[in-house]
Formats: sequence, C-alpha cells, structure tokens
Amino acid sequence: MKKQKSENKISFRRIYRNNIYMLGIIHKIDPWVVPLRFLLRIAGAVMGFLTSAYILQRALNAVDDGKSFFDILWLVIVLVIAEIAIDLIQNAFYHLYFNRRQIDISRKINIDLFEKAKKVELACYENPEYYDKFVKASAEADTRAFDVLESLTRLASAIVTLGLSIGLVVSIQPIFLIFSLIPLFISPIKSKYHKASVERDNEIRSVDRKKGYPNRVFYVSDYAKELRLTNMASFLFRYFKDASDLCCQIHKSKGKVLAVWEIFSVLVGQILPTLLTTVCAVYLTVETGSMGYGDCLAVLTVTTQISNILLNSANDLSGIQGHALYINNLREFIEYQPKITDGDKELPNGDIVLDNISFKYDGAEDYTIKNISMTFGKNQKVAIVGSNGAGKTTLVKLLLRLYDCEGSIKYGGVNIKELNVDEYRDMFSSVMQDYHVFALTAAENVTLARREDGDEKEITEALKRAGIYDKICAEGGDINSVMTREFDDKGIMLSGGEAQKLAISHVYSKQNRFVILDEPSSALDPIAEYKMYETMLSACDGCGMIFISHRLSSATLADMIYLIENGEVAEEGTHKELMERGGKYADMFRKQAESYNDVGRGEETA
Amino acid sequence: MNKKKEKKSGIEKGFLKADLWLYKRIFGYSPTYLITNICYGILMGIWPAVGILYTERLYDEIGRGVIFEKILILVLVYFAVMLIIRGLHTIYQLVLLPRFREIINRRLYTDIFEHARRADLSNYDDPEFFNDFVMSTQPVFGHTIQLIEGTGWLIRDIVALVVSAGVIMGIEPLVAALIFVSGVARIIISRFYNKLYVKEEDERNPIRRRGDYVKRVFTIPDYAKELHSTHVSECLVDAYSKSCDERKDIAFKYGKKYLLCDFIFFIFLDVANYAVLILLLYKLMMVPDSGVTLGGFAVGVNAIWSVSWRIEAVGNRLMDFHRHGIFIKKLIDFFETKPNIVGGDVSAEPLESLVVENVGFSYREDEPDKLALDGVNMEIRRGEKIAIVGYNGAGKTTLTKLIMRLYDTSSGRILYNGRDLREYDLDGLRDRFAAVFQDYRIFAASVAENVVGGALSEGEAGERERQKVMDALKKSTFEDRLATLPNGIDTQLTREFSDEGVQLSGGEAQKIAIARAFYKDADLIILDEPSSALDPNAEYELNRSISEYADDKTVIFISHRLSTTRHADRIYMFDSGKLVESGTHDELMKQNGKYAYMFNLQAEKYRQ
Repeated sequence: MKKQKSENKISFRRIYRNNIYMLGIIHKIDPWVVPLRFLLRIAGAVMGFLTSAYILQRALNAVDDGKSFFDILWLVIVLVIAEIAIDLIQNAFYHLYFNRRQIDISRKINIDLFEKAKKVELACYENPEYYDKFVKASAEADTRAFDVLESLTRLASAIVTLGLSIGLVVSIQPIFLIFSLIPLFISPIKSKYHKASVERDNEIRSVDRKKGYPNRVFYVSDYAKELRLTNMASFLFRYFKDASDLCCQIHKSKGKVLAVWEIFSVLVGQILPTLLTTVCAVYLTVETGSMGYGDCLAVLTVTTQISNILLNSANDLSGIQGHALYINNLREFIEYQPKITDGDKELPNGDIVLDNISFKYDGAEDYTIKNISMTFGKNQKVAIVGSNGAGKTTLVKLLLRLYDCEGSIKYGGVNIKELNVDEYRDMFSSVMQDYHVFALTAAENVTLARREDGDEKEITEALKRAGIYDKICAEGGDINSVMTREFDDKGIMLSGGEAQKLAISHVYSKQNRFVILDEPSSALDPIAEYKMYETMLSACDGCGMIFISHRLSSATLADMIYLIENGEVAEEGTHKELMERGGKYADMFRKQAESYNDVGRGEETA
Repeated sequence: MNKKKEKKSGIEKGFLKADLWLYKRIFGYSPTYLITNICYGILMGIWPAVGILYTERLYDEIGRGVIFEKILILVLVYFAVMLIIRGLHTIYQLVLLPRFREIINRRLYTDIFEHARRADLSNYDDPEFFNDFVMSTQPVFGHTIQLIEGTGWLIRDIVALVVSAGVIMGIEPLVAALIFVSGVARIIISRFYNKLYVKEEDERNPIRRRGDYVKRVFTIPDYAKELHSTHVSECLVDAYSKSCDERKDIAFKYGKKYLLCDFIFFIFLDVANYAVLILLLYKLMMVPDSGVTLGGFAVGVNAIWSVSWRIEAVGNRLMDFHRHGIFIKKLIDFFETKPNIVGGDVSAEPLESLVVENVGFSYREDEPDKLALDGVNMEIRRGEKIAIVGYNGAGKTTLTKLIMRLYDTSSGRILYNGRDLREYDLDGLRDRFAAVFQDYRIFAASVAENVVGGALSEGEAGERERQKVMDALKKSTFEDRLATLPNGIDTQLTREFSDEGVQLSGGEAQKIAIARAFYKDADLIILDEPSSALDPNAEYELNRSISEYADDKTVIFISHRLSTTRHADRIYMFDSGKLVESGTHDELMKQNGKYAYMFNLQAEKYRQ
C-alpha cells in the first residue's frame, strides 16, 4: 500500500529534478544536444509568433491607420524568409544530427542498464519489485530520454509563445492580464483529474497482467502441443473474457469521474478566459470606443491562439509528469547498491572449503541449505547426488557466489567475500542445468566472452572435443556462423542434445581451476553421455571438478560423493565406501542398477 | 511506366478491400462503435466551420458597430455550444472509447487465438509463418482502432475542409485556388516521404531485431545465471553496440533524403501561405471595392493555416489507411490460412491396433529430402507396452507427433484400427491419446485445472472430477507433494498472477503432466522421456506406478535410460530416422547390435 502511494505521488521538486537528471545524462553524451535543441525550439517559437500574431497586428493597425501596403510588405517578406530559414535549420539539425545522437543516447542508457543487471546479485531477479523496475526501465530506454528533451523543449517554446502573445495583448490593453491569470486556478482541478486517472490506471494494470496471459501462451510455440491436446484453450478464453469485463467496468465507473473533472478544467482553463477576453474586448471597442477596431481583432485572434497553446501544452505537462515517474524508476534501478561486493584480497590457490553454510531464498520460509560443510579439493572430482529439490543447484549457485550465504566459504583459506567477484568467478567454468544457446556466433557461444586474436584453433578444438563441430560443419557453417534463427534465417538450429554439447564446449575452451557441471548429460543419449564423461575427465586433469547427476553411474567416477537430502549432507564418501555402508546412496544406486542387472528382474514382478 | 502504374493500383485496391473487410468484421463485433465514430467525425467536422462563420460574423458586427448586447448574445451562444461540444468530446474520449476498445480487443483476440489453436503445429516450426503470425496479430489491435477511429477523424477533416474552403471561397476565390495547389503539392511530397520511411523501416528492422534480442536476454531471468558467471555479456554488449552503429548509418543515409523532402515541403507550405497573406493584404489596402474587409482579412489569415494543415491531415490519413491495409491484409491471410490437418467424419472407437506403414516425414517443405523419419513400419496392439529408444535426433519424438496427428506423414500412412488416421474426427481421435511431452508446460491455473486440462464442472459432476484428479495425482506419485500445498488441488500454480502461486520444481511439474495423462483415461499413453527431470528414487516409483495403473492401457515410452524400457513388450531402436532393430530386450541383446551396445555401455557402471 505504502509502495503504491509513493509510486503515484510525485512532488514538483521531484518532477523537476528527475527531468533535469535526464538532461544531465544527455549532456554527458554530447554537451551540444540540449542547448541546441532548446535554442532551435525557442527561435522557432519566436519566429512563429512574429509571422502570425505580430504580422496580423501590424497589418490590422496599418489598415486602421491608413498606411500604405508597401510600408508593411517589406516586413512581411523579411519575416517569411526568416521563418523558412528557421524551419529548414531545424529540420537539418534533426535529420542530420539529432536522430543519430538519439541512438547514442539510447545506447548509453541501455548499456548502463545491462551492466547494472550483470552487477546486481541474482536475488534481484527473484525480487518482483526490483525486477519490475528493471523491466520497466529497459522497456522504454530507447525513446524516453529523447522524449524528455522533446517535451521540455516543446514546453519551453510554448511558454515563449505564450509570453509573447500575452505581452502583445497586454500591451494593447493591460486589463487582459487578469483574464490570462484565470487558468492558473486550474491546478487543483487537474490534480483531482490526475488522481482519478492514476487510480484507473492502477486498477487496469492489475487486470492487464491477467488479460495478457492468453497472449503470452498462444504466441509461444512451446505451448502449442498442449493447446491442441487439452481443453485448456477454452479455459484461457474465459480468463480473458472475465478480465476484459472487469476492465470495462473500471472504465465505466472511473471514466465518468474523469469526464466531469475534464469538462470542469476545460471550462476554467480555456472557455472562461477566452469568453471574458472576448466580451471585454467587444465592450471596450463597441461601447466605450477606447480600443481601435484593428487592436480588437488582434486581441481576439491572439486569444484563440493562446487557448490552443494551452490545450497542447497540457499534454506536455502530463508527459513531463510521466517522464518523472519513469526516471524515478530508472534511478532506483541504477542507484541500487549490489549486496554482493568485491573484496580486495589477491586470488589465492587451494581448496574450496564450505564451513557450516546455510541459505534461504528471499521470502522463503525454510532454509534450502542447512549447515553444510564440505570440501572441494583443487584436483578432486566431486559428485553431488540427491533427489529433486534437495538443494544441489542452490549449492552450485552459492559456490559461484551468485548469492551470499550464512557461514563461510573459503578458497585457499580466504573467505570468498574478501575476493574480487569477477576474478573469483573467472576461475570456474560451469554448465548450468538450463543452459542457453545465444544468438551469437558459434565461437562466442564457446568462449562466452569477447573473442581474442588467434583463438580460432582453441575454439575449433573445444567444439571437436564436445562432439558438436561436425554438426556445425554438416549444416554448412563454421565457428563464425550465427546460432539460432532468432534473427538470421540461415542461423544454425540445434536440438536439445546438440545444444547441451555446445554448452559443454565452453568448459574445454579455457583454463579452469574448477569445473562445475549441473546435470550435464540430461539431454544426451547414452553413448554421447559416455563420451562426454571420458573427455571431461581428461580435460579436468589438474583441476577441480564438481558435478551434479541423477545418473548414478557417473557418480562412480568421482573421488568423493556427497548425497544431499533436504538441504543437508546425508551421506559422504567414495562410491565404494557408500555402497559398503548400505545407506540411502546404496539403495538409490541399486534401484537404478536393478534393471540393468539380471537379478533385478525377480524383484520387479514380486 | 504503364506496367508500374497497373501494379500500383493493384495494391491500392488490395488495401481498400482489406479495410472494408475489417469494417465488416468490426461492425459484426460492435455496430455502435463504428456508428459512434462516424457521428463523432461529422459533428467535430462541422464545428471548426461554425467557428470560422462565428468569427467572421463577430468581426463584422464589431466593425459595423452593432450594439453591445446583440454581440454579447452571439458570443454567449457560441461559447455555450462550445461547452457542449467539448463536453461531448470528453465523454466520447474518456467514457465511450475505452470500453469500445476493450470489447473490440476481446472479440478480435479471442478469434485470433481460436484460429491459432486450430492452425497446424507445423506452422510453428516455420519461422516465416510464425513471424508473420506474431507480426500481423500483435499490432493488429492498434491498427484496427486507428482505422476505425481514423475514419471518424477523416470524416471530421473532410467536412471541416469543405466547409472552411467554402468560407474562404466566399472571401476570395483566388486564395482558395492557391491553397489547393500547394496542398496537393505537399500531399505528393508526403507520399515520397512515406515511401522513404517504409524503405528505411525495412532496412532498419532486421538490425533492430538484433538489438532487441540483446535487451531480451538481459531482462529474462532465465539467462541471469549465465550472464553472471561468464563474460558472455561482453559479446552481447558488442552486438548491441554494433547494431546501434548500423542504425546510425541508416539514420544518416535517410536523414539527407528526408531533409530534401522537407525543404521542398516547406517552400510550398510557407510560400503559398504567405503569398495568400500578402494577396489578401494587397486587396484590403490597395483595392477599395475588393470585398475583402478587415474582418474577412483576419478570418482569412487564420483559416489559411487551418485549411492548409487539414489538407495535409486528409492526405496523411489516406496514407494511414494504406498502411493499416497492409497490416490488415496480413491478418486476413492469417485467418484464411486453413489448417491442412482436418479431421474426417469417422468417430474413433477404442484403440485395438495401430499400424505404422512405411512412414516417411520431413519437417521442411523446402527440403523434402531432409527426412526426420524414413520408411518406418510398426505394429502396436491394445495393451502393449512399447519402448522407443535411440540416439539424440533419431526421430523418436517425431513419430509420436505423427501418431497423435499433430503432423501428417509425408509418405506412407498410419492406420488406427485398420483405418487411415486422416479419416477420423480430429478431436475424438486426440481424446483417445494422452501424452506427456518432453517439453511439458504447466499453466497458470490451479493444480486440478492443470490436471483436467481445462475448467472443472460445477456441482456433482465437478465433485466427481475432483475425485478423479486426486486419483490421477496419486497414480503419478504427486500425492506427497500435494499434502504440502496450501489449498490442495485448488492451489494456484506458477507466479504468473500472484506471488502466492506455487512454483513447482521440474520433477514435480512433470508429475502433474503425467497425472494429466492418467486423468484423461485415454487408450494410448505416450510418455516422452517421462523421467528426464526425476531423481533415481522418483523415477523408480513412477515406473512402478505406471506399470501398475496403466496395465490395460497401451503405452509408448520414449527414453534414454534403457533400464526404464527393458521390460517393454517390444523395443524399437531408431537411428537417424530409420528403424534399425526391434524385438524384446532379450532378443535384441542376443542380436548384439546397436541396442545391445548402448545397453551395455549404460549398464557397465552399475555392474560391479
């Protein structure tokens, strides 16, 4: 509740500061953009005023005073030429300069966001509030900054035109100043309107998520099969209809309130001042005769123009308010201080020792990891086994310091919190359970880092060792071919098993101190799995290896096996020791072995 | 030249037809929406003309020195009408439009989704079709409302233009001619401009897609682990930055052309308008009996600007109709893509036999030689437990998709109870099958709804369904986890809608998917790697459960773990789309072929 309030209410100070903040960002990229844009806009506004209201007044007065046509002709011609010149300069700047700068600006903001996203701890992705900020900030990063500049410069030019027009009217008859002040009383009405519209938007937004779900499902090919074989589609339609009905109701109830305030603000902001000015001008001309006919027409014409300017700049004002909200969000994301921070100790060498660590995900009630102590030797092959949800993958994440935990993890005797995060993570190569193929080149998918000169041989070798090089060649590609059809119709598509091989090739491409494999063979067929472990073991000669596997046959390869259950180490030892112990590991192993060994058969039928 | 013209008019006709098609459809959804917009357009078109007439009259009366009270009445009436008009406009904008839009959105997308559901699955594999589908249907709502509401605006602009032009004609016919000529010239330039824009978009879009991909990777939580633990973000940032540079080059290239267009455009606009001003001024001051009064002059100067931008607005709106038409045509194409897989009229009786006869299949129409399956023959009888094994990419999953008729075979045929699959009613046929896919999906709905695969019934029938759901969950060994869920089978799954939604682990979700198959009480159950996400214990339990509860069912297992499949009645071994071995485990082991090699390799580590 509190959060919502702060999200919607934003003080004038904040609006001002946030918009200035954005101008500051633009200014840092190119100090010329902001002043030039303002200058051009204001010049345009002044010219616009001179060629419309001013010329008109001069012309009307010239006629009234009985001056000759040629007295005024030169003025008109000079102004028109100036106007055309300004128009062209403005357009030249836009097409040849600003539109390229706009891309630079959006690039800067996007890359800042990317870099921040990489810096913050993984927990932020699981925190809906923070994650939401990121998504919002990213969604509009391309256009928002320049929109801010456009809104502000448009507003500035509107203010200039308004000032000049009011000045003209007041110079004819000072009493009109009073009428031009009436719209100032509009702000309480506007704020009522704004409040109602924020309420409406919030209500709509909460429904929108629901309404968007069918959209998310129907467009994703992953769901296509299920939608054809089950009746889930009609269920989704009902969802959609209910949510849409709710939206209609919200629009109906809030729309009426909004309409009342809007009409009220039009009355006070535009109709009333224009009406009073008109009546007053007519009175002064017709009744008292204190104003000339030409002046009167000039006042009436300019008044209509003023009312139009007010109408248009109302949009910009609310736009600026919207910008402020966006920038607030952006700043909160960018200015967030990551909880996982660098230490300054030099990277040591040695074993990784987990000393009584415990870990709980944000918002979770129970600990996922409870008082675990274990050691990963620098040349040891360690297998972690256990049932689904036991905490194996979490353990890996803690090891990579994607999260910080209670207790201590020490590398070569130094707490990993005292090390540089990047340096520490760099000594690992890991293949995650949910690996991805990136729509980059095959080589970049291997290195997962910026390429270096002359690395072709290593990359080719890594692909060959992972058993995927032939596939890429068979598709007519090489290491520089783009993977996936994300945006290249000739991109190379891989099946699940092939993708996993590509993910594994990363391990072979660099020097590692430790290799972490989380279910590395889940999509591989038995033969590929066998080969993978063989190759991997020889590649990991001289470095530590930690792997998670459900297929216990691979655990037999390990120097040390940890059985994790409910976040705790239930059993530990070598395969031989654990089998002799006859505990849970032995039980699990036998169950899996059962069908492979002929003894198993009798048990099954029993 | 002539030919080019012909082609162009062909496109024009096409877009008009597309627009008309949409009008008809929208009229079907909500006739009031269409009518309201037209009325709004007419009313708002007359209003500016009233404004011009009023101003002319006002200036005239002031000039003639009519008594104050009489002018006051004119002014008051005008402003009262203005208030009413503005009021109507506000109600239209804030109360009527949002609800109309909501209704159109709902009706349109329900139709689109319904059609998408009926489309062939193969369409999803074809990136071109899929792109077209997403490209055409995602923005279609925007185009629809813009077209319908744009029609209102077009009517408004045309009405206003005609009335205002009439007023100006009354003041000075020459002025009207001048404005008209410059207006037409500007519309022609705008067309150039628009064409340039379309060309630029075409050039820019593939580049922008690359940039958007990088943005997506950074925002999707799935990628976070890899981004944090590797340096792949460097490559991504480089790719993004490169796309920005390329976009800048394009912006500059086209910027120069736009500038030239603008240059000509402004010359026409400014020169014509100021020429009119000078002309009026000349007549006013130098020609005593020209009929141009001071009031007429003031009105005329204002009217020139409003008329000249209205000409442009009409031109732009017509162009918009063209633009919308292109999108709507895509939508029509989408709706007119008839699925190739349509059912026959034979209703499917309980399964007795399934025969795969010399079946070949290719996913790609453009490369029919790239066979995913080639000359496959199989025979399955009721109650048999069949295992399909083989290497990655051997065509195992493809075969099950053909059996469920998610695709049709490229050659050969599949017989269900002796009859070609294609003769059966599609829904009825698919009801006979239940499948747990490798890439099963959990929907943002309750556990029960996920198991049922749709909404639960009300009342007593619902109660029975709930019982069946419990039963199915028990069979899929989900029972223990169910006991820990806050609302039992009514627990909401996924965090899609609420933070209280339960997020199941891979293995648990798979059990839900398996329960779906049990619930369906189908004759044939297809399990595609049912144990891939399960730990050894869970796998063992599940296998026992399946063999216990699916005793009378026909089951097809696909698995990499040969221990799971060894007790099958028959094992089919696939290798690169071909069926290479078949028989019982013992037979295949005796053959000592590929299956035996694979089995031994896996078993080796367990035999000690």
